[in-house]
Amino acid sequence: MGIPVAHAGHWLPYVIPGAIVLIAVLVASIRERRREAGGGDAQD
Amino acid sequence: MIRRAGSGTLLIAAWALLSAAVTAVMLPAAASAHGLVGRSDLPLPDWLFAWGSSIVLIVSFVGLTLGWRSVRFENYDWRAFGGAVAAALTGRVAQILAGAVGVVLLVFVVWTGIDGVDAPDRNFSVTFVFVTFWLGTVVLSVLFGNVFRAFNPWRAIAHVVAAAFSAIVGQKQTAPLSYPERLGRWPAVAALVGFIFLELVWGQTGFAASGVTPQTIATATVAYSLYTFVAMGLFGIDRWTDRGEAFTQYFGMFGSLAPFEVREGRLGRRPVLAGTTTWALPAGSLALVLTAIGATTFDGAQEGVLKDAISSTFQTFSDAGLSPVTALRVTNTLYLTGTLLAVAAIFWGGIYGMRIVDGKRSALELGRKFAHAFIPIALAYLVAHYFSLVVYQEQAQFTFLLSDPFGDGSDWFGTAGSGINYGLIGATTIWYVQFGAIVVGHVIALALGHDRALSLWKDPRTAAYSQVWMLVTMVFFSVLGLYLLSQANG
Repeated sequence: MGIPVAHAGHWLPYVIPGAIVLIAVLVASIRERRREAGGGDAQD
Repeated sequence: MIRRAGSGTLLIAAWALLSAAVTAVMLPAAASAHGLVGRSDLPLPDWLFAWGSSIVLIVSFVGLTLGWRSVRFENYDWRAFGGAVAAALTGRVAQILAGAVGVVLLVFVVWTGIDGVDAPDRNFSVTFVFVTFWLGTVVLSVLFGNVFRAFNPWRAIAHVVAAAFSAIVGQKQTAPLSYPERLGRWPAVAALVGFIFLELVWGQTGFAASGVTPQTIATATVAYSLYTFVAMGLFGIDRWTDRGEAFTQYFGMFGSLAPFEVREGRLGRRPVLAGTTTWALPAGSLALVLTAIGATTFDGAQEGVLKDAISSTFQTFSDAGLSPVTALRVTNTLYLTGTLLAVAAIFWGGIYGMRIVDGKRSALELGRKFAHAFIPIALAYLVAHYFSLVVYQEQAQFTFLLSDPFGDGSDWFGTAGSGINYGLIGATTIWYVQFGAIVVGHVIALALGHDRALSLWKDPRTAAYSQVWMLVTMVFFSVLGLYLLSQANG
């Protein structure tokens, strides 16, 4: 109700940067965890 | 070669955003057709500014990770100013003068509130409290430090009364109660929420019959004064001022950004921003920062993004039988609470992400350790949201409200006939100031977080790895701020 789907054109472009950065950080975190688990030195 | 945690992945994210932004700019017709273009006086759609701020933050993060390898702000140097001027600024005469100015203004607010006209825009008290005092003191604090402590009228009155009482009874008075350290700044947070409630809920009913009237200002000022005097009497004047007094704490939070600091009665200088590293130590400091951000967020959302939702909920309460004024106040209370919780949720999301790096530290400890990094965001939100209001309303404050503070037709300084020049700054200038404030505030916040992470984890790689989550938080807050502004401006 607060942010109607019908007005997605207004808010969707603002959501994209946050979503991209969140995904990038999750990917970086998973890679770091794997690096730690494997004891290696992964390069980003 | 980039070997720091997450840098490569984040640069790819920045590149993806930049590519998409460039594509969008190259295809303005398509963007316009989807209703994505902002105000016509901007060269780019306003959402692209949010993408730009995100790219700046990502690049800043990578820059900090690669170039900022040792702690800079923690355990900062403080050097006292020498000379008579510095001594005079913190001397007894200056303290008496500053306190007297504060007391005169306090009395004048109450007097004009009671005796002046009902129209809020023609009565000195409303503009003074909500613009000159509430916003103007923030500007002074950021530039010069916690100046309000010197001008605090309640502290000044209490010191005079205590000195007189001691002289009469012949011995120095001590506070009957010891201030519980675990209370920290929580009383200040509670009073701050009360002030925000008065401004954004009580005063935003949209009906002529209610709202913040000058009489309400006077009543609230007297009530807060009595509460403060009782608290000072119980816990000690300076102890209460330095923990529980809401305005000293609120302005002191912004004052921690300034390069000036008074220690043991001596004025000195410190590195800009460094004062924040010690500010957030007492309990309740984090809540104070988040409340400040949440209040501005709600004020912005109320005028734009939440407008329809508030209207709809208000209608539901009205249909349920509440009076219009009560229905709107209940509605706004719910949305204010929700906004404060949402801001806290974004903050804690970043903190819990940080615990991936260090599960040994509790979320509460990490939250407190990084609370100070959000002070620049609170300032950025304030500047972005209220810049134009200050520019317009201060024209009123120093012209007709100064010459005719009661609104009774007086003309003390010959400026009663002046008006507000709304053409002083244009919409485009306002937008660029808003955008600049948001970007700079969040970059500074990233830097403060990075410095604290280096101090906590020593290893630059671990510190950077922890701060990728701070980056997410910063991107969320910057984009949210720009979205709220675009909706409120639109």
